[in-house]
Order: sequence, then C-alpha cells, then structure tokens
Amino acid sequence: MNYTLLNFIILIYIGLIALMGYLGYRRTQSAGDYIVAGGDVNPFVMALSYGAAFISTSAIIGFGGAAGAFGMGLLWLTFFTIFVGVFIAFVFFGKRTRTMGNNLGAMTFPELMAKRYQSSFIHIFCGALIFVFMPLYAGAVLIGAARFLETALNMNYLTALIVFTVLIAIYVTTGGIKGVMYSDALQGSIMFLGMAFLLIYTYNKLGGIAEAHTALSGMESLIPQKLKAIGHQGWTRMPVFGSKLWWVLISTLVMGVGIGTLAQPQLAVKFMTVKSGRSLNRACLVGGVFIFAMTGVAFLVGALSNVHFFNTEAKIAVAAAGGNMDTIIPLFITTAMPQWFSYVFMVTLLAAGVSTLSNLFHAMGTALGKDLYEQTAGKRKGASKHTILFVRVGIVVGILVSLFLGYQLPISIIARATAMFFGIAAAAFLPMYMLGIYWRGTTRAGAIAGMVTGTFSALFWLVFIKAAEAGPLGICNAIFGKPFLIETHPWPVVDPILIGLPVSLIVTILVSLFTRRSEQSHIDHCFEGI
Amino acid sequence: MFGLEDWSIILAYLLSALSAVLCIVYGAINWNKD
Repeated sequence: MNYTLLNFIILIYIGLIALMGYLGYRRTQSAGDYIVAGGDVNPFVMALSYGAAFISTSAIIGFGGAAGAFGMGLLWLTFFTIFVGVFIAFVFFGKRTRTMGNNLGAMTFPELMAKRYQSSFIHIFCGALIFVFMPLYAGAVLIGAARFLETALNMNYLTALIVFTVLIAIYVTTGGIKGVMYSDALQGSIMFLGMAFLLIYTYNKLGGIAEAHTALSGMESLIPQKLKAIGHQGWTRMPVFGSKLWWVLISTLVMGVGIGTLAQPQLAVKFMTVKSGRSLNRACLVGGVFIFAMTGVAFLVGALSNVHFFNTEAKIAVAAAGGNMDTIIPLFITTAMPQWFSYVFMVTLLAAGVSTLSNLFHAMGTALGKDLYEQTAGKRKGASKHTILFVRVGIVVGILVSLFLGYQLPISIIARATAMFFGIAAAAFLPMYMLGIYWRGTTRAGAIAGMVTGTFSALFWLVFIKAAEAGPLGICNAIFGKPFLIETHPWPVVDPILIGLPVSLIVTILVSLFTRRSEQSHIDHCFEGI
Repeated sequence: MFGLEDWSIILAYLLSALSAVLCIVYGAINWNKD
C-alpha cells in the first residue's frame, strides 16, 4: 500500500471539502439560507447537488453489487432513475414544487405539504416519518462507504464506519444547505470523472464492449443452483418472467427505487433552492448525463466484474466476495484497477457517500427542528429561536442512529434497505405530493387519509407479508406463529410500494372527492404562477 | 448487439441512453425558457 499517495489524495479531498463547507458557512446568514440556500442556487450546482445527493455509495456499491449477483437487468433501474428520477422529476414536479414552495414560503418538504393542505398533523407526521425511517437509508449508505474502506485499506469495519461518520459530521453541522450544495457539486464532479474512468478501464481490460458482454453471456453455466432455482438465467439476461428473482429485481429494486425517488424529501427540497424554472431546465440536462454516468456505469461494471473474477480466480463475483454482494464492487476496484485508481475511487465513493449522507442528515435535522419541534413545543412564544439548535440536535441524533444501524444491519443489505426506505416514502408521500401540485381538488382530509393508509399498508406489508423483511423482523411469527402470512407466490416477494402506493393514491382521490375543499383564496395562492 | 442477445436487456440499455439524450435535448431547447 502506497501511504504517501493515499494520504496525498485524501488530504487534497478533505481540504477541498473543508473549503466548500467554509464558503457555505460564510454565506449562511439566516434560517432560509441554512435550509433552502436562500433560493438562488446556480443550476449547475443544483443539478450536480441533486445528482450527488441521489447517487450514493448505496447506488454504486449496493446496487452495483446487486448487478454483480443478478446481472444487467439492473439496467432497467438506470432507465428509471434517468427518465423518472430526472426527466419526470425536473420537468413535471420541479417547477410546480419550486413555484408552490415560493408561494407558501416553505423550507422543507413536510412544510410544503403542511402549508398546501393547511395541516399541522401532516407537518408532524411527515417529519416523524423522515426522522424515524431515513436512518435506515443513511445506515445503508454508511455501510457502502465503510465496506470500501474496509476492503481498500484493510481496515477494521467498525473503525471504517466511525472514521467515515466523523468526516461527515464535521461539516454537515456547520455549513447548512449552502455548504452541502457547494460540496455536493464538487463531489458530483469527482464522481463523474471517477465513474467515467472506471467504465472505460473495465471495458478495455476485458477486451472491448462486445467481447466483454460475450464473455459474460458465456458464463451461464456458472450460475449457482441456488440462484438458478429462483429464476437467474445469466448476467446478460433477465430472470425468468414472474420468478422470485424477477419480482425482487422489478418490484423492489427497479420500481421501489425508480418510482420512490420522486417522493424523496431530501431531493424535493432541492427544487425550492433554485431561482427560476430556467435553472431547472438547465439542471435537467446536467442531471440526465450525470445519473446515466453513475447508475449506468455502476450496474454495467457490477455485472462485468464476473468476467474479471472468473479470469483471475475462476469464481463468479458473489463467490469471490465471500457471499456478500456489498463487497463485490470494493473487491473489483482493489483487485482489477491500478492502485492509484483504487485510491481515487475511494475518494469518489467518499464523495458519493458524504454528499448523500449530508443531505439525509440535513433532512433529518430539519425534520426534528422545523417540522417536529417548531410545530409542537416551538409554537410557544419565543421558542422558535431555538430552531437551528434543534436542527443540529436532529442531525447529531440522525448520525448516531445511522451509525448504529450501519454496524448492526446484516450483510448484502444495502440495496434492500435503500429500496425499503424509498418504498415507504413513495407510499406515504407521493400521492399527496403529486396530487397536491397538480389537482386543486385534493383536500386536507384526502391527503391525510392517503398518507396514513399508504404508510401503514406499506409497513403492514413489510412486517407481515414480504418474506425477506417479515421473517427477520419476527413480529409476524410472534403474533401468528408463522414468519409471514401469505405463502402463495408471488406475494411474499412483492414489494410494499406496489401495494402501498396504489392504496394511498386511491384513498387520497376518493376521500378528496367527498370532503370539503380548502378556501378558494388559499388554493389560488398555492397555484399562483403555476 | 454489442454482444448482448436478450432483447429486454438491450431495450433497457437503449432506453437508458435515450432518456439521457431526452434530458440533454430538453435542457438545451429550454435553456433560456422559464
């Protein structure tokens, strides 16, 4: 290991991040600056910030590793992340969110929903949901970074986890969202260059694009019996239609994350940080290219790593990684790439992890400070001056809980934990959010009913029906004496998003049709300029 | 195509690239529009 080179690369990286945090800190004067960056962020910064917040170590390490095990079917998620996560999000959600956010003076996603529907219950419920469930996603992102540090530096996993967490804690508590967005833009640029090199080097190493794909197709006979039994047909083929693996791939990984991205509070808040619709148009261009370079490369390289491991160790990727999908990408980088690149890639991953986590911790902090504290105890006269203090307390608590989860969660968990959070967020928030910015007739009662039924139907599905989660949780077993309630295929492998989201959407529409609308003047105010 | 035979993988590959192109075209056309 070349410690001089490694230390040099890390020092440059930390120096740049510290500079970005400092610039953000210098330009943060008010709560508005701290939370939505005063609403005047440059579109390039916004797009890279959105992209860097969206794409984390979870996408690169977790989902890249899933592609190593399940194959190129993950490319459907690349399509969803670009088409839904960028194009639909920016063009159909971004502008309306920005305008309505401005009209209502909202600073967080829960606040936007609460003001649209004039409901403090929505404010508190959204804030609580974010504060309780987001650590699951943050924990998964932490694992991704720590697994890489563990593999690349031969470091103890717990030490890697703590070192990485401390790095994030240093600047996220100081700079507010401006610091977060500046460093995100820098991290996004590092990530883009790192991933571009990774793709070119991988194809080159494996003899070219067509040669690499052909070699991977020729490995079908090496699929383990366990994976074959659930529908695996090869790394360049989709699983058998309707098989267990097909449902996991399509409903959990592709739909859960691909659609769930629309209702991510830490991403929706980015729309409220730009000054015009024009900025969002420009950001769409940058974002589309960026996400393509991130998820496309991670999933292709993940699948292709099988060829490398077969050529060098006569093993498939998941076997070379000791059965842990989460270490496939770290192992591939450290064994297949030049040493200098594994150090640079480590910085790329640190960048990806830091940028997403800082946004998640920022969202958790504002959930506690602005959404929960201000709406409850903070309503007392004079107490609102403590908001930023509570935001910071929320960040620290979020960091500690995520650190705990990062240590406790089992192996091969990153993609699943991410999809779980995305699914819950989609079921709870998406219908209320989408209808709230498009349909004037959505009522407060409709939004509350949809949000609550969406949340609880998704949670019910996780705890009592979906085998992968219900089994380990053990609640179903304790109550009914069996690990999950329905054993008929495909229900135990259907993701909660396919249940919670339609239920929530139907309930929101039906209840809205039969309940009283808000005052016309309020609706006009919300939709002014839309 | 490019050593791939499963049409659904080829389709995912193409749709991903086309979606990125869509974002580029949309952003470029509306560069100065609000």
